[in-house]
Amino acid sequence: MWGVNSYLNRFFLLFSFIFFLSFPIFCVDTQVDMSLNASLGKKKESWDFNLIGNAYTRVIFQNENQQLIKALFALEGNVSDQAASFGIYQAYIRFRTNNGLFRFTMGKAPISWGEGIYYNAGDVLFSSTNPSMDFNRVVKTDNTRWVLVPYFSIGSNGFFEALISTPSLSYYDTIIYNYLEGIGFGGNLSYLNDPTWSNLNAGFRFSWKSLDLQWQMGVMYLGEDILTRPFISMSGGIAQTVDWYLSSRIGLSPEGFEDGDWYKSWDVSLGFYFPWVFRDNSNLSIRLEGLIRPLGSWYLDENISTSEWEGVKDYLAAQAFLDITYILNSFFTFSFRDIYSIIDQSTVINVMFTLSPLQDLTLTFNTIIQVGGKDNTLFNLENQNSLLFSIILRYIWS
Amino acid sequence: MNFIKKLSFNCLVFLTSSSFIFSQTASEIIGKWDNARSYPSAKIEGVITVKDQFKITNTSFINYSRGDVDTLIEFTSGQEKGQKILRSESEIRLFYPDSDRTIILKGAQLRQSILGSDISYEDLTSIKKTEDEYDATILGEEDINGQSTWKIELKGKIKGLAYPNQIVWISKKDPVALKAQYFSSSNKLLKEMELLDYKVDKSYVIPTDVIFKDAIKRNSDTAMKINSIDLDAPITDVTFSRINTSF
Repeated sequence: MWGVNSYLNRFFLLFSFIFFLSFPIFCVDTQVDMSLNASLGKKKESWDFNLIGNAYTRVIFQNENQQLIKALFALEGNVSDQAASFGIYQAYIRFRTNNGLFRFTMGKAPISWGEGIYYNAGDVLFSSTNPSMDFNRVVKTDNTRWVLVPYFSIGSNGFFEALISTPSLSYYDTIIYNYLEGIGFGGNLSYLNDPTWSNLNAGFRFSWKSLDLQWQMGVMYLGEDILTRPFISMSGGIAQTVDWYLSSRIGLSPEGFEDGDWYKSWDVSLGFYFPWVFRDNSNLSIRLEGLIRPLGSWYLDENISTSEWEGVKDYLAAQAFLDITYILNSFFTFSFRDIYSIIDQSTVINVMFTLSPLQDLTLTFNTIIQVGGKDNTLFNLENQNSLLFSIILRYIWS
Repeated sequence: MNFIKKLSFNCLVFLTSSSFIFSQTASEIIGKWDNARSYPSAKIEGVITVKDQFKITNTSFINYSRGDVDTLIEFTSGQEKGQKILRSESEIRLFYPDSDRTIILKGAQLRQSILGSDISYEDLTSIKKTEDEYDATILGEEDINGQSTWKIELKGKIKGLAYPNQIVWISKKDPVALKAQYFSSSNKLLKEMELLDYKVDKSYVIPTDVIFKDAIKRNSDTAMKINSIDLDAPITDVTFSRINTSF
């Protein structure tokens, strides 16, 4: 059996060959996105200060004449006062047939399945239903993997897409880490998955429109977790004013069947989005999302022990996410976000002011506070970064 | 008495004939205006400049259009680089390439401005066959920037129009609107457009330098300058397909 080194070596060589062979027929376009993040966060016992610089450069090669081929190569780097890491952010070639019926993507590309910004049960590859606090999920929806994706168009509103992807951290993401480690930089690779074929992920989905709703249905096999996730998503509108979306999935695994608790993995996510434009052209948007585990834990004993808590915290039956964003004008934006764990009544609040003094330049003042009265709650002051203040300066140059 | 009779008769003849001429001419003028901007297909490259009290932003774009409805706009600079807007008969879609995500705009989302400009997504939904949506009446003649124009009032005759009432000043020299004012159903001024330059290519008139002003926003305007126009670009069904939009 080939190890991951073997099959990914072949994959990477093939990709590199096609990629660099394609250069002469492309025009080149570049974009640099840089941000500097200074943060002060509360650790369990003390306060911790971090200054992190982040940059990624996108170089897009595109055949302009026919718009039939696109190749994109983007590098990403993070440098802080304590560590440095570099990686491939996106690197893919995409081509389509002239009749517009077939598209093929190969390389490290963004994948976006299902509907939802924070909770999305249809996102079967990246599992955006876990309870961890990560507001980055809201702004950074560009999750990528090394993939092979054939895509077939079905009419004007439908498509079929299949996908084969590498495990969550793939071998070629680590090459640059290893190289940098040799010259004095480096990262921790201990979490690299065991490299075998069986770690690959594979799935497919259909999307179509009917009854004035957009539907998605499919299944994903996650080799690294030996888990099969069928899902269904739908989205529509109410009175031309509110958008709504609903996704549902279940995770089927041999381990779950053995333990008899596979049903706990039934996740349902639901969201509403209400945008409004005032007469002075300022914008307000309200997004409310919920995650429901119908067969999860609806009741929590107040005196639950820590070991029991570890067993149930991933199966809490209900959570909610609220995002209120008000764009006053081109200079000032205010955001309020809240994740509320309904069962243990803990919450995390994020307040953000963003100033945009120049085109493509933003300065964000960000505060995150976790509020939970008891020890064994999802959000509480004992967690890492339970209090976080940060200033983020971001500039995009192209 | 004879003089008064003659005067009355002359006035009557003038009023009825001018009214007759205007009603005929309004329809013809609008028809010619519609025809002159209904090019079969076009690839247009340009820059949108948004000025407000805080800053000036420039965003370049490529616009592929066909007939009265199909339009694909791709932004090619700045933070929005790679984002696309697809307008079809039934809907407007936004495509975000970083996340490979497509959003269908509905309801209030259509009233949001494009790139913070004085142009909304709703503005993209107007079609180029004016007479299907509006009744036209000539209000008179006026000079705009030294050019003689017909001042024409457009009153919406169907529901759901972004601007139920409009006044357009159409040049007598070429079938092009040199100025336009857009009103709500209660006749409140919402937006203004002024054409600074245009180009005549074949039998079509293409605006190349336009300024939009939102009447509600203070110290704000949006300029759209066209750098290149290709009326023979290969634009097909595939250009406006989902697979191309998300490419």
